[in-house]
Amino acid sequence: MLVYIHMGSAVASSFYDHDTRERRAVEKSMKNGLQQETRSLSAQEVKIEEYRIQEEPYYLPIKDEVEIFRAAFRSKIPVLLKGPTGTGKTRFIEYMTYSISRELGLSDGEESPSLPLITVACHEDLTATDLVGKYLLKGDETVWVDGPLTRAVKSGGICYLDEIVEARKDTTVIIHPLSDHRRILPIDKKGNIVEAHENFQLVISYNPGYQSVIKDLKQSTRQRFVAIDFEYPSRDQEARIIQHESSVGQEIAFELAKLGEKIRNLKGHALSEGASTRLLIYAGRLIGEGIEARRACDIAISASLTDEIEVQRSISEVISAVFP
Amino acid sequence: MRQNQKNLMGSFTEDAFRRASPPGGLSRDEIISLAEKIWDDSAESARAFLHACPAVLPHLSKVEFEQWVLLGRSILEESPGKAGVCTEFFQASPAVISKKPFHSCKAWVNQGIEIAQHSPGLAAEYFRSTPAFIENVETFQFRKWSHWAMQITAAGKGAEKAAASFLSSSVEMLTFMSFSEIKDWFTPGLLLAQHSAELASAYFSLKPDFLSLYRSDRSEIYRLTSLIAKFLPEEALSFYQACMDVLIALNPNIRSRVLKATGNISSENPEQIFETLEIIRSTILHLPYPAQESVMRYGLAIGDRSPEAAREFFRNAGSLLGVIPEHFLPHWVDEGLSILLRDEKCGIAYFSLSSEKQRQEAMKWTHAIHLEDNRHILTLLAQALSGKGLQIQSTEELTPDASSPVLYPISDGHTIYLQPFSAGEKSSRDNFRQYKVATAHQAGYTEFGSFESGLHAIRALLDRLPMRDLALDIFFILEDGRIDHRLREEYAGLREDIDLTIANALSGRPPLWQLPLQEALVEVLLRLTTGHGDLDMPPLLTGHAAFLSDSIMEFYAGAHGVWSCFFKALEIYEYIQSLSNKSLDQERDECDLIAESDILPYTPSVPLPFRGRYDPAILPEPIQVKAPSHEVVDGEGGIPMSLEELKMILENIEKYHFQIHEGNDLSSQGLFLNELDGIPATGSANDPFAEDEESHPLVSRVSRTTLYEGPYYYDEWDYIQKAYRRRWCCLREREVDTGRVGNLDEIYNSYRDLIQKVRRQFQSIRPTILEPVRRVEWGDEIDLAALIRYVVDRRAGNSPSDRIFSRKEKKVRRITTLLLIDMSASTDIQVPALTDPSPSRGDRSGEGGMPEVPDRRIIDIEVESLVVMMEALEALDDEYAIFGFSGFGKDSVDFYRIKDFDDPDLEAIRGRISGIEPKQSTRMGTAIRHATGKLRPIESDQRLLILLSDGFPQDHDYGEDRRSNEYALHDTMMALLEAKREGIRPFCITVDKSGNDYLRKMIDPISYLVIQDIYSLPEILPRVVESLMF
Repeated sequence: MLVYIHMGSAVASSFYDHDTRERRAVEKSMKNGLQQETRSLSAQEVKIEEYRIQEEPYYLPIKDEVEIFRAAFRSKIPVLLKGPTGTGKTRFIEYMTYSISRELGLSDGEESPSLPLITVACHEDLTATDLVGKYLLKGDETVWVDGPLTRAVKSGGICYLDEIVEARKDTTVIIHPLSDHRRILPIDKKGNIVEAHENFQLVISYNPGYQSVIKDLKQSTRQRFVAIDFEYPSRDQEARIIQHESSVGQEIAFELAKLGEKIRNLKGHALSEGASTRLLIYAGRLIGEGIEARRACDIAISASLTDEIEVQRSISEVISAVFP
Repeated sequence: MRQNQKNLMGSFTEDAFRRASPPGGLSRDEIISLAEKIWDDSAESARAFLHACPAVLPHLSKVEFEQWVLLGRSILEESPGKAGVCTEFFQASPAVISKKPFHSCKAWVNQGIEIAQHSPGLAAEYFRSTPAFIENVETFQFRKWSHWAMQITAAGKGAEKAAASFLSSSVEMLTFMSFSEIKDWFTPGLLLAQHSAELASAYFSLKPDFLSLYRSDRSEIYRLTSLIAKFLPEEALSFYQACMDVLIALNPNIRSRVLKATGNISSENPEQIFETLEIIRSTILHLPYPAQESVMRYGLAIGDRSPEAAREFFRNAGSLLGVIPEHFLPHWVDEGLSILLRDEKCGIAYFSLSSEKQRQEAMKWTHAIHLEDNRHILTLLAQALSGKGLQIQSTEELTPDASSPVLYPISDGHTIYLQPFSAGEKSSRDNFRQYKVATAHQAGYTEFGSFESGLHAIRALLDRLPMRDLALDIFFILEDGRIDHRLREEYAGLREDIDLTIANALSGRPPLWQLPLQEALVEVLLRLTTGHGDLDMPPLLTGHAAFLSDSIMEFYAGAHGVWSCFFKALEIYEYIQSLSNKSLDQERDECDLIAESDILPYTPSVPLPFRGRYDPAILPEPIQVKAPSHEVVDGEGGIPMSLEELKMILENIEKYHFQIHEGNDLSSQGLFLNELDGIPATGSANDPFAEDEESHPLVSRVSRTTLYEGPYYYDEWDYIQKAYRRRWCCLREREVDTGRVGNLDEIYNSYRDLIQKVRRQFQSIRPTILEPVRRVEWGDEIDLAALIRYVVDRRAGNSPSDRIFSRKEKKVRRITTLLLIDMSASTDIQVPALTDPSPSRGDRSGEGGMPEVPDRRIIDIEVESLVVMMEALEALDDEYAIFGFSGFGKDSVDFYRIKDFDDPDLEAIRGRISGIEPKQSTRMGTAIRHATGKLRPIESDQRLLILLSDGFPQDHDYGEDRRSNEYALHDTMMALLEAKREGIRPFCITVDKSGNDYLRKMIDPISYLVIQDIYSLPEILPRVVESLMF
């Protein structure tokens, strides 16, 4: 599971390539190394709308976000996930997809989840066409190929547009009719309108911290979503997450969480973003592999957070204060 | 012969005679006959006479003319056979007579005749030099001048040549020297002449680059040269030459010190002067400027005590500075000076780098680290640990004068003050550890809630106890112990560092048996809180020590905050204060009866170096403890609170309300202690901040800060060292005083059309175009042409290209512009208005109704351009800012805020623009660095830094050599490169015609523009900015 595969189309667009690579990297990182190994042995290719999350992802609810999301899904309200990188937005969506599809599946008498998760990592060259679909050449004829959004709208499922503000402005506009009471997707080039599947849910994410002013989300877009704020978890919660994800001992997990908290104190002073839970997990895994704790944190945290030597040194000092 | 004479006379024609407007009653024939008479004695003189006549005649009456001729003839008569002298006289005459009244000429000639009697050659030189002499000397001081020449002649055999070279050189030097200095310069020459005419004449004919030196320095050189010349004439000349060369190569600011040191250290012993100069020279010339200055300063200070030691110091300073960083040199020297004071021999050994003590000191300072270099790291560390925006400062900031330095780190909950350097450990890493532990400890006050839960209130309460010092010692030892305990608990990695630091700190503490009882117990307590409580104890102390150790055993495990420490402190205080403070030695004597006089007063304990001691009295921004006004008891001293009273308060502590008000600025912060009913005294005599605010010296500091922002410190590039001078310049941001807006209205009137045109132009820049991109792999549309090609290729059997789509791409560019205006004094220069207006100016003045333009200053034109530019940028609707800069010296660079990026108030901005006036110097590099800092956080596609200046970067201490702007140019260039490295596009516009050369040098890789016609600047500036935007 959790492997994204090229679309079956003859002309693979750069966008799909890009997406696949990125997803795979993220997924790899989020999963335990051992499990990963067995899975990649049995890599398989599925169509994007056929992709299901088979196993329950680990997610530790911080507040009431799980209930809120469930309620939003039932009420067909699109959701906006806000928060800095590495606070579990993507993991949350996977978890919700899994748990909602189980509920749906169980009520339909099925055993395996039936709700696909279609993730699009937005980048600055992402256009509406990439989302909706386009004509491609195939042999002697042009063939229409649905984009990921259209597929999600048709087949029903959670469509997750990651870092939506990065995409070009026209993309944010095409999701407008989808994200209000109409729930339709107009396809101009074909002159069609697609009504959304009953289980279609639009989720976008957005990191207000580092985006520039020009890349702010428009009010008309913002006001079509309910927003769930993601913050860094508390020390204890984060320690539990680290312990689970990196299989280190409780003590080290707690120290790592403490370190994360201390480094986040520098956000806004010397760092534009605090150390994410993800980085702390990486550090934990390296420690688990036998790398010395200070060294592991240096390479996993201070070096990756910043390029400024002085700031790196400060972070190293904090690391050496926390880890003997 | 006669024929020659005829020709000569013929050359003085009637016509030439009449043109010379001769005095009445004098005919040409008379002059001819006078000339013939002179001819009889000297044909050469006659020729000179006739040649001089036309120039002389207009200034003289007939009688005077005749006297003049007589004077000339008298020279011939007095010194027969010396016709050359007379010739020189006639040749010099026109210049002298046209400048000076005729009666003074007589004295001049007599002087010449007198000289001629001794030496005709010298007299000729005397007459020859006179015209140049009177060019520069106001009063007619021939007598002194010629007298000096005569003195030289009389000094020794064959000294005429020296005297002649004195005369000829002196007139040259008079162009830049005062007459009185000539005398100083003459003295060593005269002394040399007494020994050797050759030396003297070599001395007088030496013409070093006098102008590079100050007058005072030159005089000192003459003086020293004279000293040597008396005894060692050969050496004097080479000293003179070497001294000039050395000084010229040095920074003007330290030249006088070098001379002073040369004199002092050699004790003005002629035999040592030159040698001393050589010693200083060989060291100093190889050092960078700031180091030169400190070496000279310390050298002089050492020299005051012992010249021998100073000589050693100068000999070794170069190699020493290879080991010790320059800013630690004073500490090294201080140690040496104190040794020198005790024992001169040891001191000399120290400065000659041969003593063991010296080796230790050098080792200490080699590894010492400076707070400034680590401040950023430590600040971030403190912020990370505490989670608050703590800042790190040097304790030097707390005391403006160095006489009473703050010896320990201290924090007020906002700023941590650390020692300016850390030294004494074996490596710089260990020295850093001291800083790290001190930072963690001070940040611990914030992190572990001491300040939040009322450290100030506790301090104020303890201040009122009868044995205040004892109470404070006990409380702070406990509280510091708590902080250390919490640090160990929270930061496993710090444990080892804290242990090492404590072990170091304890090693220097006094042994217990030397202390009186109370102090010894406090010391025991301190050691207990550090975990080093198990020490060798005097037997009579063990009982009390056991109480302490029981008392605080397990205490920290349960201590939750600063108040627990407070209660524990009261408990221990009660115990210790009840004991009599007698010397432990006496107890050893088992003297049961203690006399009243044996009881010693309590001396406060010395804190551990990294713990320091919280003391609001030395902190700059006090947090006030205020009591309700009706309860304040007047009078000095207040009433000390008894322990019982304090206990009573504390038992009811829950009822009292401690409020901490967090205001926007520090000054509004205060801790208010309310509802203290039943307390007899709340007067805060011990609270230094309860004084009237007016009288508080800090008030002035606060009010001053409202005038500017900053200070900001910037490095400066030293191209000679190829290194930055750290925190070299200090910049403050100021507001421009608002000027008369009426001026601006005029500008708006005269540039109405230009403004409109430029606005239209800029509005259209804002690109909203969708650019079609063809032949791409993916896109919104199929590119038909590409598709046809694709099909054709396929049919033809070629492999077709996949690029058959087209799409439209929108390009929106955000452009940020920062205009930096040179407000130096030189912009005050008037620029002549052009008489024939250029075509562009023609249509501007034609339509704008300003046909006649008066002369304006460069700054006025800068302001006009600014107004036009501002309107253009307003139309563009992107961010822009306008700043000016000037200042005086490296420590006061002024950066004038005219419009910041987020300043929307156009009216206020216009007011400030009209307030732009020329100020002082131009330290460009620092201003550019500050402007770069302004642009740095702004996200934009294009960030422009446009520097508008009139000429050189220049400041009185911008580089060591005031005449060369090499240093300033390099620094400016480096600042521009730094900007470029940040992705900012710098552009320089100069309105100086001669700017081309230095600008090209200055901004080699960066764009620049020199505007020849300054008046076209308002028109050119928007064009330049526009062209830069793409």
